[in-house]
Amino acid sequence: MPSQNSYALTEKRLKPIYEFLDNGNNKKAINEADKVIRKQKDLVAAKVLKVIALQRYGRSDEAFKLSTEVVELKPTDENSLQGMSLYYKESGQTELISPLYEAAEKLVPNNEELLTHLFMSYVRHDNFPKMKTTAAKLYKKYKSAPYLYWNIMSSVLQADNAENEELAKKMHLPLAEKMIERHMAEGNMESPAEVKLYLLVLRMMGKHEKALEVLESDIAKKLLPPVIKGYTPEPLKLKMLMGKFSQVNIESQKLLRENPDSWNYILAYLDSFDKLFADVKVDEETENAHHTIEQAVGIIEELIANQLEDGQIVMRGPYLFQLEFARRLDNVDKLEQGFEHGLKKVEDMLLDYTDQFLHKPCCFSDIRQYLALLKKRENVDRFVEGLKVQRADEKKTLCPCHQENEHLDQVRHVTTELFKRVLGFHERLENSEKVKLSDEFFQKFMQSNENRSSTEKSHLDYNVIIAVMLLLDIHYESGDKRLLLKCASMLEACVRNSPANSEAKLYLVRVYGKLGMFIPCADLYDTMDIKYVQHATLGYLLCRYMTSLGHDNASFQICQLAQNYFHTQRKDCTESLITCYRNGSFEQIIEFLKYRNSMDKSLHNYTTKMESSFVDLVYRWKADEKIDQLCYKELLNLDFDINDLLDHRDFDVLIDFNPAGNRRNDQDIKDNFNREKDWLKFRRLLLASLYYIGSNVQGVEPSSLQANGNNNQEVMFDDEKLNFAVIRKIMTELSCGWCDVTEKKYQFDGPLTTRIPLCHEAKYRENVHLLLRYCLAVMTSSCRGADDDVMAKLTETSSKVVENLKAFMESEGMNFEVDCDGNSESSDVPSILMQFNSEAVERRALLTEMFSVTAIFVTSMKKFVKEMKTEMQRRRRKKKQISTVKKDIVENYQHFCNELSQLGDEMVKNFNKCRQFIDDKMEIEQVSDQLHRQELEDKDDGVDNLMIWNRIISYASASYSTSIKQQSEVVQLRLANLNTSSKL
Amino acid sequence: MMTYYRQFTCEDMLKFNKVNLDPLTETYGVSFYMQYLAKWPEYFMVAENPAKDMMGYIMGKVEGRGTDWHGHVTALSVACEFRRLHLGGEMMNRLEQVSDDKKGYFVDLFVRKSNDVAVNMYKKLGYVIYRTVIDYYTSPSGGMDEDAFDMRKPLSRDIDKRSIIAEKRFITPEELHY
Repeated sequence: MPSQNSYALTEKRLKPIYEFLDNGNNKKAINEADKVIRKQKDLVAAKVLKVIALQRYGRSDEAFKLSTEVVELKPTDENSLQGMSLYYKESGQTELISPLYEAAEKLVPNNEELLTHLFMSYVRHDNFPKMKTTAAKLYKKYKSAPYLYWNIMSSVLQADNAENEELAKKMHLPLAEKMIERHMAEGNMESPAEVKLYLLVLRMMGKHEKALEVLESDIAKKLLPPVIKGYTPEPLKLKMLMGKFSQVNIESQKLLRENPDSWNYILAYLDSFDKLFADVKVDEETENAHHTIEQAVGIIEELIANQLEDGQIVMRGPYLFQLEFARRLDNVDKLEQGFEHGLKKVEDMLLDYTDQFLHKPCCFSDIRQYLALLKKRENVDRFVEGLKVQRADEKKTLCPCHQENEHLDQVRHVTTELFKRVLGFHERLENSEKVKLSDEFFQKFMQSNENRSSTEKSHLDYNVIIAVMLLLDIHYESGDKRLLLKCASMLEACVRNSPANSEAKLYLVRVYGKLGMFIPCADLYDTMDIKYVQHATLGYLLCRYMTSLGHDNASFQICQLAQNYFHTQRKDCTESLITCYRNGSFEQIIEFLKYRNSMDKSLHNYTTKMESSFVDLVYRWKADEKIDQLCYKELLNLDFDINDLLDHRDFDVLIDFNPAGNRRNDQDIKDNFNREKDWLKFRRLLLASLYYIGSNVQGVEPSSLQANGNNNQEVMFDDEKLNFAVIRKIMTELSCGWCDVTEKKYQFDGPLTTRIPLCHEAKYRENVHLLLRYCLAVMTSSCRGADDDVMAKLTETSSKVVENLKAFMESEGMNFEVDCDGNSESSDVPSILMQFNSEAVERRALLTEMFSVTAIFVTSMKKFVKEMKTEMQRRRRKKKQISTVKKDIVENYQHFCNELSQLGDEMVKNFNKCRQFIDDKMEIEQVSDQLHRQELEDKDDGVDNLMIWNRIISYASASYSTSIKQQSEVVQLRLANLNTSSKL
Repeated sequence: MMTYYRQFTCEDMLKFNKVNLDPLTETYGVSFYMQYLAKWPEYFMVAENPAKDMMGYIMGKVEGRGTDWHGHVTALSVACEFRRLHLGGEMMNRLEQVSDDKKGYFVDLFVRKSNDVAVNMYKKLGYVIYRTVIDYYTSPSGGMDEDAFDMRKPLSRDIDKRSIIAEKRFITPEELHY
């Protein structure tokens, strides 16, 4: 036992190291730790602090080495253990915390603190069985209830994660149940967390009746807090699960009469009613429970009548109650029966609601799902007519000079138009009528004298959204780029006047993406302050466009940002689990685990990981860099099933205003998600091929082998290191082709079409397969000697690759510059924007990527071909026979490199031409002239309009030139690789 | 207020974009929400409309010692289209109920001094300006910092409403205990 004095001395010595660490002065912390260690060689705590300092200073190898020394010393003091845990957490090696505490616990077996830390270390790695035994040990020794509950929770988790459901049902859960009941029987249940865990176990076991008994027991009443007002009471939920529909119905009637505006109670009423209506015999206690349409209509009418009495606040609840009731009747084909038994016509029910709430921005969201109940055209017309009448009536009764009334009237008008759109009125218009209506709505927005807030969007901004949607309808059919540009200008005007409108910004991101302009997409994304979990739900908006439009620098940064989030949230999630244990929040443990596992499999997580590795390798790799340091290794695991990924993309962030039949739907999202996974499968094969070819080649060196025993030495490579089996496996998977090469044209606000159709057109997949065949043939010749048919393989594959690249380069739509039609001067869109072919941006970027991929494969083969050439020269010097095949291989290789170089040169020329075009024509000053400045300034909104177009032009100019510049750099980098390679 | 109320869950973070894509609503790191869920799950509530759109949410906690034991509103946010329907008030009401059940003396919150709409709403709900915290909100862009009103509403346990009598009307953020 150290004396007080020596303890104080140690603390005194360690203090400066702590201070340096706290201040982030890691270098000084290392020096100070060294000083202390010199003075006191056996002071483990100083070594631990040095480990942390080394890690933080970036000397992770040394940190790890010293940490293993510390582990061997088997520290047991709190400071050293906590310090080592901190180091493991910071260096992402939390799996090493358990062995550390296991060793300490063996040496100091009766230490509660140690065991608690050991338990938590198992929590970090979902080691449920060990959590259980540790918690049991803790409870046995210290008899503290939380330890018992940690033990029980471990059983619950074993059950929840058991692959064998029977085992969960028959072993883990009954065990948990028994342990709680024993604890309860002993009169030890003392906290709400314990009751909640008991209820959780019973719920998982499907023992609802018993759960109800527990809920109604004295102990639960004593320990559990009262139900939060408006929440669905737990007993009601359990009774529903138990099939006690009458009881639920009777109780929810009572609750509804007390609070007719609660959707929780309305759902409880309707869920129970549905069961009783379908089969009243399902439940014996039917008296007073509602099971006929008349009864349901009765309570709805009663609730509506009550609130229409004088002085009552009119609530949305009862009106939505009757609509929801109608929807449910319609689901079981009994709506007509409903009408026969007193239910109002659907349009009248809708109008009842709008009569009170048409002026509220929530109106559309509240009732959009019930519009489908308007089955016939006449119902739709009556509803729309009714809306007009309501608006006119309101207008009559209000003083028009009052600004607030004017505003409310405009809100009613906009909402009515949104209803009309959803009900198909826009769909039936001719294109010219759509354009006219679009203009009208946009002008309404521009002329509105509303005081717009900088922090809150206005409902009247929907004037712009309506105007935009009308043009997008035409664009969907015609693909006319002019319309997209007009949409961009209108949305820019909206965002300018109403900067808090994120909906307009999300539309803009999509418009700019379709126009091939990435920079405004990224800017808008930034202004919306999208971060953390929003990467997983909204990141797809940028992801689709960044690499595909040739912005590889931005792509890399965006992916890294997303990866930082996924990495941190995983760590945070695990630490939050520990908080749950400490606070007895057992339900949250299951929830957090589910969430963490789902984020691990997030599409965006995998996509950004893939894309950052891909960009690093394909766009940035320099021939002297080690390829194996550029990839996330887990991406190379071809056994990971990409089909297991989960889709967290949030499309609902944009309200769907399209008519039935044209709406974004779950099937489209699912189909697109499957395509995204198919794309990732290809991306993984491509990354893996580049990795295995590149890194394996970097890892082998030629060796002299005794080839035929006659002193005729031949230099060969060791084929075991080249992993031919993996390459063949990749080739087999590549040859399977895409699951589907066509992709549906989704709605504008729906999923974004993947890159598959364009890659298919460019024969990207085929080219990768050809390149692998080429590389395999070269490598095999170098390792095992040339086959007879090797030249045929090499010639065929190399010429086909070049042919495919050339064909894509010369394909339609590859030119940046296009002739625009003669009307452009008189059009309301600057002609300069029409002269640039935005589709070419994505096509060119793909060509660049394919060129780079090709060059990397070919460059990687240099080592083998060069060795063949050296060998030839050696033999020539020694006047020995030279293999003609090898000579042909060398020549073919040089020819291949030269052909690719020529192609690259042509690409660079084209980039330069294009840059010139942008520099010459997209200067804002010149454009202002083309926009007929005077003409515009004569109009009210002329100056604004001019500024907006200039903004769009500068976005176009910046986006296109950045894309071209980055592509050009990549091509030049690969050209340099090829030139070096061809010289051998 | 026509709403479906329930406890917030992790999954809701995947659906709160319409509420959070608002300049005055901050999106925090996942650990922030999880720590609240792990420690005070009953203080984290979400409101949905019949179409299951998220209308808004409230998050809070209970903290303090002795007569300072109180509920605190950390965030209250309502999606734009569901504003002016008293939803904020209803959610505050529920948080107050939870704090009352936990025998808190009062509920408090911080609000930007310039946010008149919110300050007036809280006043209508019975909150008073307890004190001003100087430069509580730091400007991320390096602009002017902003003062916060520390507003309080006494709960039923505070019979004499002592909790709303402040020792100092103006304090610095360093003087805050929580």
